[in-house]
Order: sequence, then C-alpha cells, then structure tokens
Amino acid sequence: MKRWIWIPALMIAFGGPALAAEPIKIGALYMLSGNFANYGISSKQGVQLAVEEINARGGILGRPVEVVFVDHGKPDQAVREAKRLILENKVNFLFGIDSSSVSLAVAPVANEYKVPLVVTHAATPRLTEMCLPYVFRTSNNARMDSWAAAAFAAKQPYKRWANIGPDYEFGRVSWEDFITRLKELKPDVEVVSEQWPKFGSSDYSSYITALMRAKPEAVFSSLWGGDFVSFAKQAIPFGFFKTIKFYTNPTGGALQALEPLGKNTPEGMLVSARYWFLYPETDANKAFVKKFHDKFGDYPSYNAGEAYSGMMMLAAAIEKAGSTDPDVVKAAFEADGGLKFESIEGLKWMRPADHQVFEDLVWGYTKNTDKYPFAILDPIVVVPAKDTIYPTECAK
Amino acid sequence: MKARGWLLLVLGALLVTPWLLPDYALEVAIQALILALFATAFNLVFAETGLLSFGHAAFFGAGAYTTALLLQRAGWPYLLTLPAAVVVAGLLALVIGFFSVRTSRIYFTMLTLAFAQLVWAVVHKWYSFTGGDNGITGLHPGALWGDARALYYLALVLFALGLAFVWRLHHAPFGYALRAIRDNQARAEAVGLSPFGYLLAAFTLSGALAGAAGFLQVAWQRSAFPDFLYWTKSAEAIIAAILGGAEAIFGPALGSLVFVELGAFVQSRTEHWPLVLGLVLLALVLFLPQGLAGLGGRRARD
Repeated sequence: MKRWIWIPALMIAFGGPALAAEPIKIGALYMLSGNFANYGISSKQGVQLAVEEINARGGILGRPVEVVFVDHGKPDQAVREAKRLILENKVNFLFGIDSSSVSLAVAPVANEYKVPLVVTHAATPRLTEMCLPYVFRTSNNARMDSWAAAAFAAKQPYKRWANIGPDYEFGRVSWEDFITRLKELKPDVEVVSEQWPKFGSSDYSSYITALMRAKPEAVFSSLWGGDFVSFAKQAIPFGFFKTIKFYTNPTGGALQALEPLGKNTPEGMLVSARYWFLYPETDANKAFVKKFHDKFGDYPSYNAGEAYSGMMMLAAAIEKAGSTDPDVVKAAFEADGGLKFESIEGLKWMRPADHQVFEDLVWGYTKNTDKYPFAILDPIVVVPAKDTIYPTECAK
Repeated sequence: MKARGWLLLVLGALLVTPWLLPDYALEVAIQALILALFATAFNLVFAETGLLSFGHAAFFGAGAYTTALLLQRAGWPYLLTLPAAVVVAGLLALVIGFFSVRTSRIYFTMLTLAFAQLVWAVVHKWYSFTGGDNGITGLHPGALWGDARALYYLALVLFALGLAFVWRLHHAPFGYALRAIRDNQARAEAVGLSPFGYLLAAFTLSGALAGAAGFLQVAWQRSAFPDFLYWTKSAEAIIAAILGGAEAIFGPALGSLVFVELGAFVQSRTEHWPLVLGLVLLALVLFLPQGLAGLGGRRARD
C-alpha cells in the first residue's frame, strides 16, 4: 500500500539533477520578416547549429543552452521584444541583431537591465563607441571594413575615386571612413563623384550614368543586399564594370548578393563578406560548412558564420567566467587584455575598452567557376586584424 | 448612473493594474496607453471634422524629439519637457494645418502625409541635430520616471486628461461647430462659422495632444528614432481608431489596447506576424464596421 512513496523518490532521483542543470537562456533578436529576412534567417541558422553543438557536448558549465528567437522589427518593437525576453523569459543574455538602428535602441535597454548583449551583425561603429559595460560585438564593424578597403585602395595606382552608397548612416559613414583613411595613406587621391541613391531603390540608371560621366578610375560602394544586386544588374548593360578599372564593396561578398546575381556577377570586383565560407581552409571551418550545408541545404552566409562564431565565443566567455553572472562574464571578456577566441573564422580578440572584436578580414576578387552556381572570392586577400585597429573613441 | 458605474469600474481597474500585472505585461500596458493617447488625439480631428490626417506621426515625433533633445542636450528634468513637447508639436500642427485644412477629403489626407514625410526626411538626415537615422539613444527619464509603475501612472494621467479634454470639446459649442462644418460646410458658413479657424484650431489641439504621446514614448523606449515620424506611425493611430470605433469617444483607446496587445502577442510567437496581424485586423474591420465600440451600441459616443 505504500507504493506511492516511490513517486516522490523517483522525482528526487530524476528531477534532482534536472533541476540542478537549469538551462542558460539566450534571447536572440534577428530580422526574420520583411525584405531582409534572408539575413536574419541565416543568422538564426548559425545560432541553431552552434547551440546544437554546444548542447551535444554537454552544454556550458554543464547547463544546456536554450535560445528564444524573435523577429526584431523596428526599433520600438525591438525594445518591446527585448523587454519581453528580459522580464518574461528571464533570459541570461541577449544576442544577435541585424539592423544598426535596432542595435542602438536595444543596447541601452539591455545595459539598464544588466543583461549582456552580444551583437553579431549590426555594424554601426557607434554601437561600440557608446562603450556600454554590458554590450559586446563579436563581428567587425563598418569602420574596420572601410579601413580595410582603404588599405587595398592605397596600393592601387588609381587617383580618381567615386562613391555610390545608400543614403543613410551606414552608407555615409562607410564612405567618410574610407575616403578619410585613403587620403591619409595616399594624399594625392581626388573624389570625382558621390552618388547617394535612397536605401532600397530599384532604379539606379541615373546614378550609373552620372558616375560614368565623372570618369572615375575606381569606385567605392557600400550598396548591400538587394540594392547591390539591382545596381550590379543595371550597371552591367551600361558597361560600367568594364569602363572603370577598380570596384570595391565591403558588403559585396555576401551570399545574399552573390547568389541572386549568379553567373552574371561581374568578375574582378574586390569585395568582402566579414566571413567567407571557403576561408580559412582549416578542418574546423570545413566541418562547420559541411554541417551547415547538410542541415540547411545552403552554404553559410557571412552572417551565419558570424552568428555561429559569436555564440561559440559567448560560450567560451561563460566557461571562462564559470558563471552566468553579468559582471563575471563581462570580466571574462575583458580580462588578460581581452578575450582571445579561436573561432572557425580565425582568431577574434575582444578589445576591453569598447568591447569591439578585431579579427583578420577576408576579402577577395569575384570570379565565376564551374564548382558553384555563384561567383566566389578568388584570389582571396586577407587584411590582418592589426591594420583595422582604429583608436578607441568612447562617446559620452 | 449606469454609465458612471462602468466608468468608475474601468478607472478602478486601470489604477490597480500596475500592482497586478507581471513586469512585462506592465510594459505592454504602458505602450497601449501611449498609443491610446496618440489615437485619441488623431481621432479629435477625424471624428469631429471628418478629415483623415495621415500625418499625425509628425506631431508624435515632434513631441518625442523635443523631449529627447532637451533631455540629451540641455539636461532638463523629464517632466519639464512635457510642456515643451506639447508646444512644439502644436506649433508644427499649426503650420501644417495652415496649409492643409483648406483642402478637403483625399487632398487633405495626401497633403498631411506629404508634410509628415517631409518632416521625417529632415529628421532622418539631419545628423548633427537629430542624429539622423541613428536616432537619439541612451535617454533616461531619471530614477522616478524610469520606474515602470511610475511611468504607467504618468501615462494614465495624461491619457485620462487627453480623453477628458476631447470629451469636453465634443460637448462644447466648439465641438458642435466642428460637426456642423463636417456635415455641411456651406450651411455652417451661412450661419456665420468660419471653417478655416475652427478646423485649424482642432488640428492644432490634436497635434499638441499627439506630442504628449511622443513625450511618453521617449521615456518608455529610452530612445527616439525617425520611425516615430514615418507614415506607418500615422497608420497605427488610424488603425487603432477604426478598429476601436472612431464614433465612440473611448473607441481609439479600445482599439489601441487590442492593437498593442495583439501585436505583442503575435510577434513573439511567429515570424509571420505581419500576415497574422493583417488578417486579424481585416476580419475585425469586416465584421465590426463600427469598430469594437459598435458592440456597445449607439450610446457609446455620449
């Protein structure tokens, strides 16, 4: 008659360890709806794969990782969703973010609630210039891309430069950083034209003709995603890529741009992708690409790679901290001159002063091959991290 | 008596709400109150004059940016920025209204939309002053108003004042004059009413009230972004008013509550939230042409 006593006994036996291993909760905000959903979705896939691997090897500090994904929408919606993740889901960390303005809106809120935020995609330099104690970025930012482009540009013999970029903060700052840096490295360059199409434009013909009329030798461009695809498709019939000698775009190496362009991609453009799935040729990276391809039927885009690496780097910081306490994790990121983490992309170093990661940046010249249905980077050129380290500026 | 009983019950419920709701639900409730104030402000023009403004985001945004800039650059205490936000939003409404209220119907709608988009473009690009598309971030309304409960009560008070104000206007001769102009402008002019002055006054008051909503949004969000002035923000007020029932005085507030709660509920559950939200709103508008307030019968307005 006293068999019922087994029930609480069993609950203690099996429930006990489960209770001890309370999951580490992470709230991931990405752009999962709308025109740029393909960026958010591939970021999400990168996180999913990382978490799967982390949990397969026993979690972090013996605790499983649980991720809640949410579409971040516009800044006000993102703030609301961040508050939901913090207050309702009681997440230990916030993660992700594609849009720069959303990152700027969510960062102070996360910081106020002392929930560390790890950003893997949004690239406005301002995010880390705020120097918020609980905000980290594990991917490189737009300024580093611009500096890298300037380093290449300075080695070219071309003097007549022009720009075409989306007319908002990212486009403006990318060009500003690029041309300022280029003039430092090579004072005799001159700017012959600046074109500022509206972000999300579909018709670039007038901008293309205006650019060509100015007869630049080289063009810098920060058009990204669908804008870059539309621009390139329209520029080809004008003979744009044949008339100019050098075209460089720090976001042109995104699979989200190269895949839709397919075999029409102009060859010889110097582009970057923050992460490029064929580099580095290490076993770790090859294994990641294979697992990603097996699971999702696609090659990992740069933001999938950054999301995966960011999650792994956060895991490393928590392991090092031995706790999920925000202050201890912050200290783990900052200690010993900043956390150095060997990711699939190579070494990532977290600068303690502003929590910005620095890493080697992979660039390359577009080339169509038989092996892939889209252009790949060949040859690949790498900008060492040290050439992208700009001085820390903590804005008030 | 019966109506007063209901009113007291609702008021009582709104007063105890912050002590019953979990933290996150309280955050959403504040958002609902802010939209309720904004939609009620919009509806002052829409219901009383029959003019559909598609530019109220400009006034919401003007209030928000006034508060944000005063907090960030001048270090004003949060509450003191309220009169400034209301005045700046009202002045902007006076200017836009001056050019817009002369026109009617679709022309009014298009003109207010065009003006608001113009203001948006200025805010979006003026990096040195408004921060451009980076917005103004890291704003904190201070220890007191940074607390969710205090902010809730502040929003509740402003919403209640706004609603009472609109209710008074509705029953004042001013309200009768506006409706006379709405229903038959020629006849209203014949009895000596000047439509331009009345419409401009209504539009300005409405804009000023929308500015107060923007003032609240800054404290809730801790930042201000050009999105506040974008046409989709105007659409939120329109949707809330139509969803709740523009004919009823509390219709826009009811619509705001449903719109915000629904948005928060759906967005956290599916990536296809815009689709789900659209379908639900479509169904509500189709099956409740009078809005949610239509369920309560015709007396709702008074």
